[in-house]
Amino acid sequence: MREVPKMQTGILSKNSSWRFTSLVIGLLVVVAIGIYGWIIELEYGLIVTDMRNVVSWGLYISLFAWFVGISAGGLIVSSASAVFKIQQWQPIAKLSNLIASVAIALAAFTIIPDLGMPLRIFDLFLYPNLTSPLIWDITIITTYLCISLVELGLLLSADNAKKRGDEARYVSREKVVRGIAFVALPVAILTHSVTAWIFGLQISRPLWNTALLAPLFVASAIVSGLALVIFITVLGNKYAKLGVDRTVISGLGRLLSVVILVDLFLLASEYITAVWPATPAEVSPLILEFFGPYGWLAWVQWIFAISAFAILVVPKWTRSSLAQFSAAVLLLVEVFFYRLELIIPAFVNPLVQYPPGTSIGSTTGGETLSGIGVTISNVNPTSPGFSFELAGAYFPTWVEWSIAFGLIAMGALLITLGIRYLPVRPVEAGQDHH
Amino acid sequence: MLIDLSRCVGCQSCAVGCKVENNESLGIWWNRVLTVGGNAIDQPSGEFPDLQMHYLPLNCQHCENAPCVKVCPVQATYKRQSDGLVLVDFNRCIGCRYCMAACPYGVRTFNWGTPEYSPGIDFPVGHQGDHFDPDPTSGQNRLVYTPNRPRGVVEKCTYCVQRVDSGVEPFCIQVCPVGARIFGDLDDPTSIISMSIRAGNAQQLLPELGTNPQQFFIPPYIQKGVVPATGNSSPSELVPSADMIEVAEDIGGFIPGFKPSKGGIVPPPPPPDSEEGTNEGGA
Repeated sequence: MREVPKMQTGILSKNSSWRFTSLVIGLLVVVAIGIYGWIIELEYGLIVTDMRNVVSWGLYISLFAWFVGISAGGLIVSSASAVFKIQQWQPIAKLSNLIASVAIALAAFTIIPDLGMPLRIFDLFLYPNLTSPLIWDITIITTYLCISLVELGLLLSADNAKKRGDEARYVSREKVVRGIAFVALPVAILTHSVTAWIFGLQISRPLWNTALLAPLFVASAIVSGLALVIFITVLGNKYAKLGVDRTVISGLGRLLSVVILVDLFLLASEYITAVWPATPAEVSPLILEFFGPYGWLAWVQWIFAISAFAILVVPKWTRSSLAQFSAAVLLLVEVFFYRLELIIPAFVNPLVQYPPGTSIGSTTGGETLSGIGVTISNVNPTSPGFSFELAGAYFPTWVEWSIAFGLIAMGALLITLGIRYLPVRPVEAGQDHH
Repeated sequence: MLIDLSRCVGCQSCAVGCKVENNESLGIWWNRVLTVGGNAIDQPSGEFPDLQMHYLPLNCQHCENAPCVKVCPVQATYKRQSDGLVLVDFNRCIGCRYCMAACPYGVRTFNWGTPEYSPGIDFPVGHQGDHFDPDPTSGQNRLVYTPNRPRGVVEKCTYCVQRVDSGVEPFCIQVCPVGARIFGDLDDPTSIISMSIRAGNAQQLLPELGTNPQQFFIPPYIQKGVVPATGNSSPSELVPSADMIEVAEDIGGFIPGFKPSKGGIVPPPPPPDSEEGTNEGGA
């Protein structure tokens, strides 16, 4: 049993404080750049992004779907440890809940820079259209956020009671947590399914329109979610003295390797269902997914997923933090690429695709855009004034990247501050013995 | 609305007329005339003399089962009960562009920046004044037409709601020089449009998706050694021929991700001469 001095349980020791300060400042700088990007976007409109009429959703929506996904691990770890009484995961339940809350809050926020009329966001609550999957998603995400915050609060309060020796209060809190976890788990599954249905219900995009999309989103969400928990736990162990036992991390890694297989199995089922009938309507989108201009996204996704799986199952490495950490990084990128791969190629070739194509919705080039350093992919080099596009092209502009990294830095900042100032550390694990 | 593709000459008058009447800014076209044939506008497919080409004017199809209406989170896009027009309330749209992702026809366009016009145009263009939906079942103050669309909202063909509500035909109907467009009441089986749809074996675009558009197309003629009868081709005389049915399948058979190849939609059969040529070469 490791004795941890009281001062070090909540706050880092004094001699490593400069590290914490510089991390916070670094993250704040990235957030500030993101806010600057957002101000530019608010001033000029979405014209400063590379989205146009053909590829009309891009980095923001991919990031939204990714944030929803990475929130999965948190709730699954904390709820599963309560529902299935997995004692091993109990020590990281609070941390996981913090991660889930931050990720889902970021997901909700990511929608705002994607809106053309951000000030009208309250219309979502004033005039909701109940047939819109977006309204379902807003409802379920709000529910999910509330549940994870309440669960986090209860877990902290239970710990507090335990520390003070108030056994009765501790038991009652634990009971409520367990009750909530029974609701939280299905809500978590539903959150990923509804996010998938935003895309999967659309007949206009053959790449999306599959019943497998919801299970695929659940699987890939668990992959990225568990990867994020491992990522943060390993970093926390090294730099914030979290003291999470290695067996906990390798246990998560083992579960992760199984979920990767489920995820890849679902993808493979999707591919074979498209390829075997060999009808152009089914095969063409798939060919584009792998061999189109954005085909590299799919290849990177598969290579990263298989490499991560290989790393996780090598027996020698199951106890190595570095191996688990590398696999986690690969998987976080892999799932992000999956989101991009799903969204961008789906838009590139519209169903009705004849010359001259679709009007892109703005003048091409333009002095305003070059003035703020934005170049768009839709400029036809042979006739720059031509505002039609047969097949879409998209690569995020610096404004989109800055907002995206600003949001990620915001999440990292919230989790860093949470680890430092909230009692989410698993120090109580040592007290279980008496 | 019905468009007779056998009459359409691809003059783009409807596209330009629409742009003027509705004051569409640079880069925004509610109505486009597409070329079904080669890789560029007005370019046929095939090899001379076996060339094929026809035009496909494309605007909002005003679907009965409209995906855009179902996905709009704030009921900004809605289907008007009185006549089934699919309209966008510019005061309500939050600019999430979910409708653009949901529309199979790609006819919706977004105001990415503040609308811009050609520098020389310093006078009002198009229908002036805002138009609110008069149908009481649509809700209060539905701004369905304004010459000054705000930045950050989605717009699309309204079948010129500002004209239709005062009993005038959409502008594209009026400007079509060959009378290829017919506008009318689909619910009335004796209306000219209903009769023409029946007589011309008119098709919907992407019918397999089940969106049930209120826009119909009479298939184009394609000359395959057979020149269609000349002279008066009033809608009642348009009897579907074997040729037209073949083309009709072509219209309905848009495949996802289709890219017109260099050889065109229908690859031309190899000329008989070349076969003989190879034989001679081998001997």
